[in-house]
Amino acid sequence: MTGNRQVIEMPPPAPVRRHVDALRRAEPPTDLLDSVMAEVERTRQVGQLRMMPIVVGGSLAAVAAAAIGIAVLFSSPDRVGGPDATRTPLPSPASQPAPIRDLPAAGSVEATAPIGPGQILTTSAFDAPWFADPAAGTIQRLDPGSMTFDAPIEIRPRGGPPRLWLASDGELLWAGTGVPGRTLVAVDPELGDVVREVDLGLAPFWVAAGNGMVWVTDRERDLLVGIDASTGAELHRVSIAEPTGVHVGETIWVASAGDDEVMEVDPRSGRVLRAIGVPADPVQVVRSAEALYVMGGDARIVAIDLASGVTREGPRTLVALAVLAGEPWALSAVFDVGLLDPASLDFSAALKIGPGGGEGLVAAAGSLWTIDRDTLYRIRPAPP
Amino acid sequence: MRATDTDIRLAQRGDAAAFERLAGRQLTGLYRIAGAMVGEEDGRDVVQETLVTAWRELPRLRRVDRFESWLRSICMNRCRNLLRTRSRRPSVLAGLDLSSLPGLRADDPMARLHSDWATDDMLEVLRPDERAVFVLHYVDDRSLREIAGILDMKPGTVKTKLHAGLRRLRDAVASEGAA
Repeated sequence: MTGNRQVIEMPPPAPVRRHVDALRRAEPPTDLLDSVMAEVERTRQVGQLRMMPIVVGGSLAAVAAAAIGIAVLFSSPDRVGGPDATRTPLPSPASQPAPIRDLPAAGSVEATAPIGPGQILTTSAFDAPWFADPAAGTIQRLDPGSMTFDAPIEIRPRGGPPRLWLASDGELLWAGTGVPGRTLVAVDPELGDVVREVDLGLAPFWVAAGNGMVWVTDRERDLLVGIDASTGAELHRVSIAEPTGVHVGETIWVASAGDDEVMEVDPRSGRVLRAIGVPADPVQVVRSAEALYVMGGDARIVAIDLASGVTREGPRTLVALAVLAGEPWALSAVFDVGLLDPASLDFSAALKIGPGGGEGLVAAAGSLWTIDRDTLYRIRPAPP
Repeated sequence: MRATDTDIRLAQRGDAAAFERLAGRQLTGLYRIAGAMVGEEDGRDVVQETLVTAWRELPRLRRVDRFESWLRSICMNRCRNLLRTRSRRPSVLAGLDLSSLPGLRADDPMARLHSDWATDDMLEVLRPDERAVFVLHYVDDRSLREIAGILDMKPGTVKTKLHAGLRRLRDAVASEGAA
């Protein structure tokens, strides 16, 4: 009996330990999963029959409710699309996603490289994709020219928290370690070593950097924290319900999974300038030249016109976003990479990478990069 | 976003294939804790009910990173309810000669169930909450903090129940040895 169990003063008596060992070896009947799925299928069919008339009427009601929600968005100068807008159901996507085979090719797989089982594609920094291995406590740069990995950089002990997120501010690479006493570490990519440690007493969910500041969200503690990248001094601590993804630009955009909103924060004052309601559990925020894109927890994407505050939802199931040369790209749940059309929020061009299981999408060195379980793919976009 | 997270989100939108992948990954763990709580036969039913409930309620799950704990909460609540129902039944029947009751024969399912309660279940001396804590800790390798979240208890309460359960087991083993 091993694992993450804490030390208990009195272990179970020997006969009980033998009994527990037998329980730990029990295997489910071979037909159990089939029985479960048969019941799920029956439930699903009943649910679909019940839902049919409601969906038709409900979509009209949702459009009307969304219109009311948009009116509410402009009722407050500080919290555009506050709690009322959050509770307003967004309209269902009007169209089905276009079949990939009917779309023009978005590019081609230019190169591949094997990756280790623990490596996660996390960010683009210094014009190269960077990987993290949370179990090993290391990060690694991939050299885009040779398609080989540089030596791993150890930033925390092995076996830390499962999340290890990276961001660069132009000079240093920042990593949210989640290790007590060292919330953030800064790595000098030239030296390949940790050059600064910052203790904020947080468990970072997301780290983003830019314009001389580093921003960290802590989903457990409902905090967005901004620090000065040159001194490590904490400048702002903003209370936000379950903050997740952050985008750094002229202003800061942060997703709140607790309030189902994205919030714009002034990096100078730390004040929330406005909040816009989005579908449930937003996790990633990306800004392109034209709009703010938010990846929802249901793997749908919404685009927000920042001038009007109007939110539109795309039809395709997507799991990651990236911006390359000012244009939004996305990774679908079935491992297609595509260029997003800002009007339809569907792919205008796409490339099938594999049958499924793609994770992460970053833009670096003029290419898009994605991975599956054991392979890194470099995708060269087709000329416009 | 990891593959499991993706499957959860797809399943939240009604993708049964994604849910089947999720259920397949959780099946053995759930079966072991359900079996340890209520026995093999009822454990199978509890796992099936747990996963069907999860399918129905999944769209309401906000924290996908808590999916495993959430599933275990559903499973353990069902198990505890079942154990409490069982513990009420013997108090009515205890000490009675079942064959003497009108309409109840020794081969009646209720009588069979009554005798099954006393079969080789070394954890039967535990109260439902103690048993839940014990099973999550020793069979499912959960930390006391995780157990507190799954069973909606304070961490101190979890520790107290674990100690009380261990004491009860030691006493039971000691008295059996003495007999």
